[in-house]
Amino acid sequence: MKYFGYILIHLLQVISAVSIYEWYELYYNHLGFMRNVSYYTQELAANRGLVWLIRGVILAILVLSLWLSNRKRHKESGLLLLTILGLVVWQVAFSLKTTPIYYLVQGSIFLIVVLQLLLVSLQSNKKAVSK
Amino acid sequence: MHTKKWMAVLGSLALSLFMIVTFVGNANAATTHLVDKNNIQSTDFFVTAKWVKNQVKTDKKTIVIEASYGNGKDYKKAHIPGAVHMDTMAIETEANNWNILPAKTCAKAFLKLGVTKTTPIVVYSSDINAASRIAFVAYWLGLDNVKILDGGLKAWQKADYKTTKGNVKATKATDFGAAVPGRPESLISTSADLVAAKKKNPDLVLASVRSWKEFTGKTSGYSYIKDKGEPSGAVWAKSSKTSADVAYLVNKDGTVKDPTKIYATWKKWGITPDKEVAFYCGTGWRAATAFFITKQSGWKNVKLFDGGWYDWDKAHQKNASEYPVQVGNPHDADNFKIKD
Repeated sequence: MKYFGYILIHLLQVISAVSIYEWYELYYNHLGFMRNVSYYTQELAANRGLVWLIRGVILAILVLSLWLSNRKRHKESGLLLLTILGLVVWQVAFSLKTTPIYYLVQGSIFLIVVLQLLLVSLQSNKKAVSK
Repeated sequence: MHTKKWMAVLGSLALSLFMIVTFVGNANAATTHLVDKNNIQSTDFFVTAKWVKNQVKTDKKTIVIEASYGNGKDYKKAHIPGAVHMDTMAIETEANNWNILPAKTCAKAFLKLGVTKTTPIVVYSSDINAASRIAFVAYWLGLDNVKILDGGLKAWQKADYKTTKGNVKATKATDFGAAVPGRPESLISTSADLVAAKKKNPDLVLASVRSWKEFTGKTSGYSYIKDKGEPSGAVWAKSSKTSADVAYLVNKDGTVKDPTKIYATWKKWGITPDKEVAFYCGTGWRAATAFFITKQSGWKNVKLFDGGWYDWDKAHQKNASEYPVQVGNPHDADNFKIKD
């Protein structure tokens, strides 16, 4: 059962990663999708409160992830650090101006981080119980 | 006993055959055509695949344009030999309220494809509205010879003409050959322009080609347009079933229907060929199709109100009294109101 859970979470992460490609594909080939994304991106960008809330949540998750991965060093926590690095690099290197689907890609990467965090916390709990 | 069984089987077969014949007969009966394939005039806009094939063969200057949004994913899979891809984003942007960009910008987009004022062009698409949108811009710029392939790529393939894959690199042109736009009268760009046009001609007919649900304010038709309604004074030009089609104007195979019947429904709303008529939709795609169909039918004074509901709604949010909105059926006073 536990292996099934790990496989399922990693599978979801792969789907999230593939979705980044799909966002690009949809955005650059489907008019309706592109117009909707443009509209909702602007709506989101205009809502400063919501943007700060999202940033706060991301930051909190990152801090929690770093703390957890530092506490329990194993393969999954190493992967967690890598995904965090990916998210940070994305945040720094890209912006809404350069990437129209910025929020969608950010969402996908963030989901990968959260799933990895879930994995690490599950593994930590398991080890704590076994001790 | 055996005879009875055979009678039952034969009876069922005969009934099935009768139903198939009736169904196919009805389907064929519903298919009518605007384009007279045996008599295409030089003034026509919609043309057949055979005409295009002949045109490309006889006039080497002809440029065939595949019009669609994006980087031409489907175009690269199969296109008419020699056709170049044109992204609809070359002539419109969100920053411009999805309105057609300034004439000089649009002219540059056509020059990139090697198109000048005197270049005969044939536009096609899997979406008739995309083809009409690009063709409209070419017409507005003043191109001498603008055609749309009736039925798009499907019609080409149905005629058993070959297609090619990949990308065709266009040979750029540098001089458009005339001041642009060459036909400024065909376009009413923004809501402010529409108000000015209405002041100039109070009898101008503002014809919505949107679906009935959009027209009566039951839906905006677009998730990126919040508000529902129509510009005050609009009448309904039955054309669309949803915000993404012109189902009442085209056959199932994408070719343009004989519009005689639809014109009869438009007449009830005062949309007639003798009047100055401005067609609009959400952002100017569907209306471009209605524009060319009416032009081909000989309507002299038709225009495209490009801003459409998207632009009008934005203007209404800023100045409701200058840009009033109607909601409901104008023919039903109890369910009709003006917001100003």
